[in-house]
Amino acid sequence: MPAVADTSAVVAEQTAAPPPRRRGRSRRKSPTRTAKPAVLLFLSPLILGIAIFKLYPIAAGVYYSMTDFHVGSYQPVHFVGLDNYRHVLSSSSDAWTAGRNTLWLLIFLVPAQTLWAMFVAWLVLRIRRGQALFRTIFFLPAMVPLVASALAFVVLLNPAGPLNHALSWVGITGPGWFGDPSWAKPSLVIVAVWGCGKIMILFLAGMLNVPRTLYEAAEIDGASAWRQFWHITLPSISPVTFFAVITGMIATFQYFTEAYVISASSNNNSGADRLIGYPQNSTLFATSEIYKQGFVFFKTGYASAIAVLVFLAVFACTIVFIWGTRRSYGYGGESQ
Amino acid sequence: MTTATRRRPLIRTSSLSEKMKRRLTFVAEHAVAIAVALAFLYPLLIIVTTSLMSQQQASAGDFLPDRLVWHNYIDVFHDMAFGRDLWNTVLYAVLSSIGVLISSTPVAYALSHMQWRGRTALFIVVLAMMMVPDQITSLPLYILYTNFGWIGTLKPLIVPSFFFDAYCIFLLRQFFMTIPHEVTEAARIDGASHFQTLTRVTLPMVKPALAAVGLFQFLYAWNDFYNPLLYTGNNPHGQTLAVAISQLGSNGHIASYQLEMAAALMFLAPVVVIFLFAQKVFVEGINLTGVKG
Amino acid sequence: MYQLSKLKGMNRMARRGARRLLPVTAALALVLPAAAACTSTGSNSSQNVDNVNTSGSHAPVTLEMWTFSHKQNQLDADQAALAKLHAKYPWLTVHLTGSKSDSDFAKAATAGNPPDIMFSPSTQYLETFAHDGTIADLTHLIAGGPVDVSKTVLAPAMAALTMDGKQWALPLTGDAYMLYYNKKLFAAAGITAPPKTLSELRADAEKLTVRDSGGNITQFGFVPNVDYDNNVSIYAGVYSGTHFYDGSGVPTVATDSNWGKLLDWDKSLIDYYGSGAINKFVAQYNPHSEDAGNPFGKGAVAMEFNGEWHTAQLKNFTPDVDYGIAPMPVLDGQTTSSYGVADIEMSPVYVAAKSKHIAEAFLATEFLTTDTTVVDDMSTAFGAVPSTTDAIKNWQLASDPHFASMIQAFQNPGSYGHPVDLSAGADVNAWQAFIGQYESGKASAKNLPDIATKMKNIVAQATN
Repeated sequence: MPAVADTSAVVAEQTAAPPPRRRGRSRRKSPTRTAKPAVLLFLSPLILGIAIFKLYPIAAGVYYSMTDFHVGSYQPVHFVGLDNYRHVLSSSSDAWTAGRNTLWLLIFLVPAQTLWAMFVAWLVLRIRRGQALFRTIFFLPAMVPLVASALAFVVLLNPAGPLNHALSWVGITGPGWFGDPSWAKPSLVIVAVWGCGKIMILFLAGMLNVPRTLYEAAEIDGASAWRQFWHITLPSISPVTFFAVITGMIATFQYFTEAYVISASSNNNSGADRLIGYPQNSTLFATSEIYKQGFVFFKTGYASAIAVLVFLAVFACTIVFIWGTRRSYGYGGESQ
Repeated sequence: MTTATRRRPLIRTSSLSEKMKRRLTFVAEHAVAIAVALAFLYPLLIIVTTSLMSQQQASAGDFLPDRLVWHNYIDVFHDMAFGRDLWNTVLYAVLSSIGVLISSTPVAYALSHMQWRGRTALFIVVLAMMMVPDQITSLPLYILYTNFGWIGTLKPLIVPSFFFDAYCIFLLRQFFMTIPHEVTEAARIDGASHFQTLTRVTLPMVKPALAAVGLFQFLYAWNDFYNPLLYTGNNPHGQTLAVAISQLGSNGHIASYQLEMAAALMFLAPVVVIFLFAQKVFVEGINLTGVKG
Repeated sequence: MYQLSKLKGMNRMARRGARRLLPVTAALALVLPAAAACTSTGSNSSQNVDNVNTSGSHAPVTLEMWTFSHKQNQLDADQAALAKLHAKYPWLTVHLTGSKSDSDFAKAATAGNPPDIMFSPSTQYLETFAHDGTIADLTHLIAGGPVDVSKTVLAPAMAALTMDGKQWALPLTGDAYMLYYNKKLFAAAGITAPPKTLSELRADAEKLTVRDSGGNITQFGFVPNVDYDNNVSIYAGVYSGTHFYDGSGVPTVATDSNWGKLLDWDKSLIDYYGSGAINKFVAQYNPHSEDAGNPFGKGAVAMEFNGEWHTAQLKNFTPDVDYGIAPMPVLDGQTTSSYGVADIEMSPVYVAAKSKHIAEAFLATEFLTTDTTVVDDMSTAFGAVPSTTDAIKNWQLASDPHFASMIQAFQNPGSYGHPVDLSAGADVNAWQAFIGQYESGKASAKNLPDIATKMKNIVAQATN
């Protein structure tokens, strides 16, 4: 019912029809327009909040990105136009490495997380007895603070640690995990996949929405579990998949904590700030680079330029993704 | 459900191989589920076992402690100001939860039960704000807070929650949308102001929602690393547990895995306990961010 | 499909909605950055500060001091020094906080409440701090201070902290990077003297390698990886007789062939061990380089490149190791001229430019860095080298055989450290990342001009 009312309200607003015309649609009550002052009062924290904590920083960031401002410096500030952007995009900056690493995450981490969450939700769905227990176990890691998870995996994936010990029993020499530049990012994917509980819950909810009878009919016709999944479950949860991928993408652009904490614990001698991206900048992501330039080297203008570019990238990626999947956005798909 | 006609019966008696196949699938699925469950639990187990090991064993990466070193939990308090950091974390979590509830409720109400032009547009703006990464807004905000003299305190963490939190607004709005318009309209027709409608009529109906939103914010603040790192990281008096524990293994501290794990366990225990008791709330909250109307 | 059109329609409305917020934002955006930038006062005002009159009575002053020290014995030495200061000037109290990095200091300066005194681990940020006006220029105060610094403090130590003719900090302790070698393992391998050249080092490393029955390496001779422990200082120039920048600030990594020879030596030793075994060693031991799990102390590696503070750690955690300290071997062909040098890094003490008690802070700083007993005790606790001539003469560890070559290296005129420039170490970071790729075969000598350009650009960008 609320959805219907909402849609009608939207249509009404789009046509901006004067009241008399609306009365023609007699099947639902016409909602009275709320007085502006009341609306504004209720929305005041939002408006102030967005202005101060979102729009101002974005605007200020764009401004800073065109100056040579160094926070903490007592030197006068100069306007330098697009110089910072030129430096960021030049070959002597680490921005390209950071961009490549972030792209790597988008390509590997988001699908890995989504597919694994889907798989685990499917498992929970199929287990009839003890479903609640399994669901709890699979969701639990998502509740663990990221710092704690990161440190736990530092211990687990220590090259001289338990996992490599166990692997050596079966004759495999374990890799360097977080210490090896080629294994550092895959190891981070393992950590992320371990904590995908929230997405799993979403998939589970979507799967539970599918009527049991469909599965029973397929079972009778002799469809295997796999075929049931592929032909029944997957299409029905496509809106959830869409949502999971979008939120995964957005979260990937904000990926920071695990990389920072794990690289910080790799060398006892250097401070955490010096180790960002260890080993060999393989874990240097866009956010890490912004943090490094802005808060370790205090090059505010330069870091702001990177931040603006990342913002544009997030925007572009989301638009491209929404546009690209507009046709497959199918069954049951109202998102608000 | 069989019919008497000569049509193909709806339920076929399964052949032996089909029964076998179904049984195998059953076993396979359960085996996989158990294996996956064990894999999920193992890192948590590592935290527990390592926290009870001696320094030598922890560095050597052994599986089980030879003897239980309960003293590690006391040593943590020597290595870091756990009590003070815990207090800061609790302060941040509790106050920001209160803050988001106060600031998000009227907004969510306005976005769902008030009719005005541009309502859906503003909702989309709120959603778009969720997309803006923290790192982009944090540099200018850092400078702003410096001018206010807030760096090193918990204020930059708590004050914004009293204004605007996109995720909580989104969540609450979804909850509010499940309340039929008739209810609020009835109250309005009876002469109640919007404020009265909100507080006397709608709020009591969404109590579980408020609990969910408060819990989500509590969890987010408890686990938050980036913001405390930025705004309080330089001041030991304002540090939260997340930042302090991450520094246990670096910055020249002896890499004592056993102390790190003990601290990590004490850090994650409260939220896990809350989760175990309030599972339904979490699950329902997550579902509402999903693809319902 | 419907969703998309709805979105499109909503975009128009969203823009209209956002427009309401724009004037507010624009105003804020214009006002606040200007306000932020306006906290500058331009030039450094310490030139106008007079020295404290040490005689006569004073109102009590409490100062805030930060130090990078984090080990308990170092903090104890710091506190003892401050107690001595308080005994000499009872009106002056200094409150100490440990485990603070240069970054913390800079952030506090930004926030407007820096400590009055900062004991920093290195000179990495010296130029940046001086350029930004974060630290006070001490030249004027030194001239009027109670101690004749030019006679007391070692000249190279002072020179490392001078820029543009101004003295920006006083040196407290110095680090010298040397070769640590395990005497017992040397004897077992039949090596009589520590190596003097890099090829001798390589040969000795091979002799000192022990493998078990399965072919795994249980004892390494020497691990040269740039990411391991402090090894980056091997590649900072003094051991290859090279400087990062020539007189006009142009990087020499591509033009001076000695750099290439140094990297080749590195790669060939890593290839000898096999990158798999070496990476496992590095990943396993890097987090434990300063504690009981240190591989040198445990005999997992026979030779190690480390700073002098490592002696204190070894004494603390693994006192049974029978080891010697010698100068780090140098690139072949340079034995006569440069063997005996060391990469030296000073640990300076800064006075914050925005401190409210600059004169008192300077008094405390000068005391800490020149009082013989204080410098000696701090150096002993840190296992570092004292920075004044009297302190070295009086030093209880001067007769310790471990420190003999260190003291000589410290006073060797050919010793120098990392370049100090406005990039605050970003250039050396880039060099380190490049060497990492060289070691894993992802870069080779033909990429040297690229890294040279990158380093030049990094410094140029920082200097803008």
